[in-house]
Amino acid sequence: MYIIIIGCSQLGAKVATFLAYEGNDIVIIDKNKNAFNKLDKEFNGITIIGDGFNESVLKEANIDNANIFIALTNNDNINIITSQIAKKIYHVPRVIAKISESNKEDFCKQSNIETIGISLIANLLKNKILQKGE
Amino acid sequence: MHIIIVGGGNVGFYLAKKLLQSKHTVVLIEKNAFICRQIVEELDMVVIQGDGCNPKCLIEAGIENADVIASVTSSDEDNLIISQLSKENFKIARTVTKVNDPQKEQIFYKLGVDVCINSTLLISKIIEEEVSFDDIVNLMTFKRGNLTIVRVDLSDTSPVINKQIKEIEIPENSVIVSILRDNNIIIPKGNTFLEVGDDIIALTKIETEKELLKALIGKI
Repeated sequence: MYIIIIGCSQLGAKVATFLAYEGNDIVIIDKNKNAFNKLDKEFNGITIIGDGFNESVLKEANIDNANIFIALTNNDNINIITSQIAKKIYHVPRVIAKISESNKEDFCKQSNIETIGISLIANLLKNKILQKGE
Repeated sequence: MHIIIVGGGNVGFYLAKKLLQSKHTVVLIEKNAFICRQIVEELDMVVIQGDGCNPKCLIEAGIENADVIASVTSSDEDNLIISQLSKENFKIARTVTKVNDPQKEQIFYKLGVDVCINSTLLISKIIEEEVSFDDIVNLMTFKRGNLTIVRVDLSDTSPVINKQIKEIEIPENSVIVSILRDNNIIIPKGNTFLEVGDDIIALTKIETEKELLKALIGKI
């Protein structure tokens, strides 16, 4: 699949590396070129230095052909807005945003944007704890 | 009117002050406790300490009864989120959003913002208008970036000099609104002649702006 990731944070780098390893075509965008040092040496995807708000950067990343768009920067608002750009303006079929404040997760769901946030981690933790308990 | 302002910086503060003078009900939301206290001391108004992006904070500020919300923080992203939340979750009638980075203005309109105030662009246009290196100044763009008001200075090389308004061919989606001649404002009629030195104020759709300019000054 063709996947665009915004934000080469620790999480962004890991996700990009895993997905690339599974054979997907990955483009990862970050404002800061040093951020790409976090990627695995064997990362075979494309890195673009730029701002996710900037339409020419998104066009360079070939957003019109993306299957999935994932916003993984450390700023919730940037993740929400770039996800909206991907969904509402470019109609990327699947858009996922990392959101740390739970009250913003509902807002994303209204725009059909999937979220990775506190609820997900809380659920995983709950399951982990309950398993051990048994 | 019941107005909510998000952002207690210079813009928010003076905006609140001005609106209070006009006897509106104004509530301000600001994250920083110290700034909140300063505002309360100076303006004797309701200030809520909190994050305008948080729906609970907006409810506390009375968004359910508010007429307008103005997001004027220093963060473009925050301003956009606040406007969207206010519109989509609370169905507020009008949102006014300050944009600092001119490049983001188009995106904001595409994402549904009512009114975008691009202070950087406004000031740069005023600077350019005073100095006016070019014959053309783009004064203001509105209606989600579709309409624009331009000022065109007619020099002696302009193809419309000494012609009447009704004789010149300007694109369908453009209209000449006024002519500034010496210190006079002329509202043009079909038989008004155009003269060297006239400053024409025209309203045009963005798509036909170039065509209009070509018609009035002969080159782009």
